[in-house]
Formats: sequence, structure tokens, C-alpha cells
Amino acid sequence: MTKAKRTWIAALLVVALGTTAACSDGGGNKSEGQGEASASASQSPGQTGGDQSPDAQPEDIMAKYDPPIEISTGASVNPTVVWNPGESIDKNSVYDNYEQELGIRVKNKWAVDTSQYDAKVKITIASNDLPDFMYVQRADLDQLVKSDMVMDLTDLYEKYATPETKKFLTADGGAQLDSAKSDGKLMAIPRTDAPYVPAQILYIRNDWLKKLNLQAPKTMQDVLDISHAFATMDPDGNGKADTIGLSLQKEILASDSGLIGYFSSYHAYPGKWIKTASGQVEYGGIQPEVKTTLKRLQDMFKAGELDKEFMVKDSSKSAELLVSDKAGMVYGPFWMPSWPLQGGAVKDGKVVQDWGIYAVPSIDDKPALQPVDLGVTGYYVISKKAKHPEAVFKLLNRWVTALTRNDPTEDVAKYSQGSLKDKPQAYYTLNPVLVYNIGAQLYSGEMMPKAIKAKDPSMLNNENKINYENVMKFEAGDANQYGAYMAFKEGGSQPLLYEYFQEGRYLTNAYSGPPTATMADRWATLQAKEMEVFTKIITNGASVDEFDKYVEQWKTLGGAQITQEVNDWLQSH
Amino acid sequence: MKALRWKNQWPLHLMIWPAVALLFVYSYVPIAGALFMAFQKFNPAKGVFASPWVGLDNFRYIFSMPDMGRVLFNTVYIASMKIVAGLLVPIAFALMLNEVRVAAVKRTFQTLVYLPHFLSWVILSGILIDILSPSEGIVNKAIAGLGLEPVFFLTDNRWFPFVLVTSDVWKEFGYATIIYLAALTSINPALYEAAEIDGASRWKRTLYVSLPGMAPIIVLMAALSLGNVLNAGFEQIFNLYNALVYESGDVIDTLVYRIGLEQAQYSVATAVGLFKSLVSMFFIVISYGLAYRFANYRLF
Repeated sequence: MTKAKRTWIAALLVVALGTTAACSDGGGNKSEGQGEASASASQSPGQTGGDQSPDAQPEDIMAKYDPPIEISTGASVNPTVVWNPGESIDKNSVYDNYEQELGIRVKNKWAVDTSQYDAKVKITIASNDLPDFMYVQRADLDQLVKSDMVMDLTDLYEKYATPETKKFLTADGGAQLDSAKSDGKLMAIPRTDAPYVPAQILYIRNDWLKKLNLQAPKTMQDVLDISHAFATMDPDGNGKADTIGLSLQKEILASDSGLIGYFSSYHAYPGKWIKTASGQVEYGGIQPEVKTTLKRLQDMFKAGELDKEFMVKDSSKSAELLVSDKAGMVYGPFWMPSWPLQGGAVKDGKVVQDWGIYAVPSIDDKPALQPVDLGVTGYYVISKKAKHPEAVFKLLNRWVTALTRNDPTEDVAKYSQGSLKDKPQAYYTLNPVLVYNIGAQLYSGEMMPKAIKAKDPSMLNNENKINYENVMKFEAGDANQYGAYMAFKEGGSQPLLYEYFQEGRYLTNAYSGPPTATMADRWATLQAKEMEVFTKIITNGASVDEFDKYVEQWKTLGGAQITQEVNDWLQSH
Repeated sequence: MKALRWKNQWPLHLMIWPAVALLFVYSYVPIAGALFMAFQKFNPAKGVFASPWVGLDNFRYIFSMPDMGRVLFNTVYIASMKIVAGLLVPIAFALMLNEVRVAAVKRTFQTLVYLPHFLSWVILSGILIDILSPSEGIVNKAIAGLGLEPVFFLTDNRWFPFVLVTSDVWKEFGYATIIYLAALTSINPALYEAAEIDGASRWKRTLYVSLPGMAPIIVLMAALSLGNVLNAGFEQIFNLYNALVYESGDVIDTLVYRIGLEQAQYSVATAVGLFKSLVSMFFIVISYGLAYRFANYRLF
């Protein structure tokens, strides 16, 4: 071997080793940052109120820190945020406002794209290198509590949450706050939200209905007929058979462009736990009603009423069909008019597609119920090592005030929409602590149509005054407010959620406890199996009788055990 | 003599130490933790030194999982197809490119084929979904032009592994070609001239001069790539697969992602990582031995 060649190979080997080494630590990602963690552990984790002296006069719990303090968190960066020049996730008007008003400097220990946030949290936990506070999922909370890594917030909550905040967090009667407790101790702040946010609504192209001389749907049978007509009768009038009935995405149980509403028309609730006639709680995905629904979907697929390629499309890809006049119907949450429908409906400042908003109809005389959860999307935990745990409550108090205050201030603009008043896409996600009102959608669903009709915004709370203005802008000809108009007008998507509520058409998930032992082991496998079987049946890759085999398999693969554990948990709580 | 050699070589030694230190800190120290974790029920607050030991429980759990057989088969099957194709295509391409005499053309080709290497699978998967689409995609338009039925590349279990291998090769072969081209440039031009005088055609020159000249690099690349026999490519599969092709597309990495990260079972994920590393090491050792025996090739 020549010398030149040998040097060459040696260089190559160094490169190759470097690459393998870089790959090889993908599996065991811990022990990084251990040193830093123990350094901050030596600081006393006490609960003294920073620069305040708690024993002196009655303390102003919203007092500004002087000099400012710094608390760290992990940020989830929403890819749709439109930044102002010079702004970023680490430096923006929301963070600046907190620093100016409260003397709290929010520092992101790390920031990742929303889609990677949960994985990043798990890696952060595994490396035992928590920021002062962060947002976690239910299963993470359990692990953090078990591992004794997060602070007991019971006393802090009593002392530092304002009465207003307490009222806000217990607005549902206390179940949401209780879900963050462990042995009676408050271990996290629940990110409360209205449970109604993911409830599905049926969106249908009214202009297509008109063109084909069809009536608005009253029953599920009407929906099936409309879908058939959309796929076969050339509703866009271009002379080509290029339209389908219903648009959907590969996550068939997702809230946007999923089929939860479709299933509910047949009283089937996959993905949720339901009380059966026997009083036992059972998994909705293995009930006989699911089989009926899958059969219908298979028929629709065979007839060309569904996208032949939905299995590979996520929600944004499937949205392309709606925007480009290829599909005339979709199930989705109340915010769908803003995204993606507005993208197709508004062209060059004019509204060109006419979307109708319909309550999900039923196949028989029993109303179709919309399955909802507890309304807690996740939890804020505070690290045991945090030096200023009370600062998190100050952020929380401030945010709650911004949301609920009735006098006309700039609060909502500052904290909810930042300095981007005219293009507020997802800007509220910059807030390090986000909680919502349990009844926000119901409130605006009830009040907004009244205010719009009376042309009187004075009856509204602060948040909805901005919504009111947006609707007024639409009525004055600003088509860019289409989303707001569709959500709040009479018969809009939020009034519909209020209508569901009045008619008692919500079905609450019967189990909202922590993952049981067998669930932790098997749930991922069972869910993969469910997706596989359901998708196969719908796409006519398997006969509908495959469902019965799946139910048997589901039970033997741990499902029966999980059902038992779920019922035991419910008995003991 | 020895002192003289040291005098000449000390800058080289100085240069390698930072790399060794980096490797040690970021790759070898964590290995210790990973080794422990795989045999523990890991508790982050207690760390690797105080978490309870569970022996081989994590490994038993992995191999008792219902789909493990299918997943193992898919992993090995997809990874070995990728290794073979990923080795042959760049070699062939490098040899062909080597025959191109117009430097500008050669450079243009080279740049064009290694571009996909720099795109992430998130982007490429979106592109692939579009071009392979049965109704709109350009590939199926071509197939329809031949009067055949459209092919559901991404949802058909017979086609999915093929798509994975082809798209992976398409993305990476240009980049891999660089190494072989470099190897070709190090072949002594006198050999080509001698062969030409002896009357060897272009094809014979490729066969008897170029290929043997590349052989050490080929053997080295083959030996190194065998370490990937359980790496079927997480990012690619994760972005392309869907419920319909779990049967042929679910591999160890995607399964571990669902179990280890979505369900926060760190020890299980680590155990799988350790298992993969052991198998990979076994294959590297074997292939290295074979390379020595049949190609008389050694690195050290």
C-alpha cells in the first residue's frame, strides 16, 4: 500500500469513527448536564419569596422584583408564528412585558419546534436537568412525582395564587385542579382549557349544495347522500370527476380532519372510555358500533367518496383538498374556519368558497354526542431546585388578569397577541404559562351573536371585544377576518358549541386518571394495532369482519387487563 | 531514531488529541451510563447509580412484545438491502463519472447528485408523497402512460420496503460517490498508460486498473456499513410510514420511539440501543476478519 493511500484511509477512518460515535449515543441520552444540575442543587430550594420578606406587613403578592430575577423554562416554538423584526422566541414583546411589569426575566433553557416538544421534555427528565418550570404531559407528571423531582405546590398555591386565579382554575367545580394532585398534595398547575375545544363540527360547502339542488343535512343519511353527490355529480362544474365527498387525514381519530364526529353519528367512541349499560367502564374502540361505522367508511372509500391517498397525508396535506376545491366536506374543531378553510375561501380579498357550519347529525333518533375529555391539556411543574417558584404564580396571575379583566386595557393585546395585533397567528403561544377559561367558547358562543346583532360590544369581556372588532371588520369588507366571522356569527362554530352544551350533547371520557401499569407497557402497541386495523378496513384492504379478530386480539394483548385496572382505579377514587 | 521520529511527528499527535478527548467525553463516558441503565428500572431523580437493578428484565420485555419478530425481520431486511444497494450504486456511478472526460460535465453531475443529501427527510418525505401519489404523482402518470394500473407505493406492503431502499439510495449515493472518486484519483496514471499501450479497452482498464485500485476503500466501506445492519433509518421511515405499512415498515427504531419516548420507558429504549450496538459490533468484527482473510486488508 502506498504511503499516500495509507494516509488517505487513516483520514477516512477518523471521519467514519466520528460519525459512528455521533450516532451511537442516540440510544442513551442521559448524563449530559449532570454537573450543572448538581451545581444548582447546592442552592437552597427554599420557598422564601425572593427579595420579599414574608413576615413583614401583608405582602403584595404581585410586587415587582427589584432587581429583576430570572427563571428558566423550555419553550415550544409554534412554526406558524410570524415574528416582528428583531424578535425571537428568546426576546419578544411578551417576555419584555413580563420583565417590565413583574421584574421576571423568562429564560428559555431550550426551545424546540412544537412537534418535538414532548420528546424533548422526556429527554430533559431522563437527564435530570429540569428548567425552573415547564409544561409536561400527564404521564410525565406521574413520573416526575414518583421520582420526587418536582415541588409540592400546595402552600405556594394558597399563598401566591390570587383569588381571581383560584376561581379561574376551579371554574369547572375543581376536577381539573384535582387532576394535578397526588395524595392530596398539589404537584402541578393544570393547563386548564375548555373541554369543548376538540369537539367536532361538520363543515360542508353550501355553494356546492346549492349547485346540486341539495338540502342542508338533517340526519346522517343525508350526509352520506351529500357525500355521494359531491363525488359523482361534478359540483365544481369543470366537467371532470375530480371531486370527493369527505376529506380526512391519516390520524383518523385526530380532532382536525379526523373522524370522531363521523363515529359519533353511529354512537361509536374509539379512543375514549365509556360507561356501558352494565355500569362497567369499557374502551370505546372495541364496541360493536365501531364495526358498523367502519363498514360505512369502507363503502364510501369503495365508491370514491374518500381521498384514495388519505393514509399518507397529515392534516396540512389533506387540507390542500379543501383549499383547492377538491373536497366539499370535513369534520373539525371550531377553529377550522381560520385554518385551513380561510386559505381556500378567501382569494384576493374576496370570499370565494361558501362553507356551512352544521351540528354533527345522528343516524337514528338518538342525538350524536361529541366525546370530550376533562379539559386539561397538560401540566406546569416546578422543579425542586427552582429558586423562585412563586414567580411562576406571578406569571400565572398576570396572564389570568389579562384574559379575564373587563375594563378596557391593552392587556390582551400585550399578552395574547403581542405587538402583532393585525396578524396574531399563534402569538399567544409565546406566553410561558397558558391557562384558559373552561367556558371561553361557551361564553363567546352565547354572547358574541347577541353583541353582533345588537351592535353593542359593551356586554362583552375584554378578550371578546377584540373578536367583536374583527367581526365588524369582516362585515365592513375585510375578508381577512373570515375566520373570526365564521367562529362568532350567529350559527357560527362557537355558538354551535354552546348549542351542543345546552342540548347536553357532550360525552365526557369516563377515565381521566394516570396511565395504569399495563397501559404504560401495552398502550402504544394497542394503539398501533387499532390504527392498522381501522385503516385497513376503511381502505378495503381487509374485510370488515377483521374487526372481530381485532377485538379478541385487543383483549388478549393486555386490553382486558387494562380495562380491569381502569375500573379498579375508578372504584378507589 | 525514535527521537527523530517523535520530532517529526509531534504536530500530528497534537492534532489527534482533541478528537480523542471529544470522543471519550461524548461517546465513551455515556456508554457507561447506557450499560447500567439497560439493566435497571431507571429513575431520573436517583440517576444511574441509585436506580434499582432488574437484571435482564428489560431485554425479556422487549423480546416478549407481540410484534417483535416482524419488527426484527423488517429491520434486518430493509437495512441489508440498503447496505447492498448503497454500496453498489455509488461504485458504479463513480466508475462511470470517471470516464467522463469533460471536466465541466463531470462537476455538474457530481453537484447535482449529491444535493439530495443535504435535504432532511421531513422535506423529502413531502416531496416523495407528491411524486409517488397514485392519482397525481409523476411516477404513476408514467406508469399509466404505459397502460398499467397505478401503484400505491406508500401504502402497499409489497412496495414500501422497495421505496425505502430506493429513496435512501437516491438521497445518499451522490455523497458516497465522492469517496470513491477520491480513491480513483489516487490511482497512479502510469498504470492506465501502461494498460493502454498493452491494448486494453476502456472496459478492461476499468476492470483491471480502476476496480483493483478502489478495492481497499470498497472493503473498508463494506466493513463499516455492516455495522448498520440494525439501522434501517429512523427518520426516513418515521416520516414516510403509516398504519397500512406497519407490517413491512415498522423497524426497531420506530417501535422504540413509540415505546421509549412516547411512553417514557427510558430503560427499555436503552436496552434496545445496547442490543443494537452489540449486534453491530459483532458484524463489524466479523467483516473485518473476513476482509483480512480474503482481501488481505488491514487497518491496524
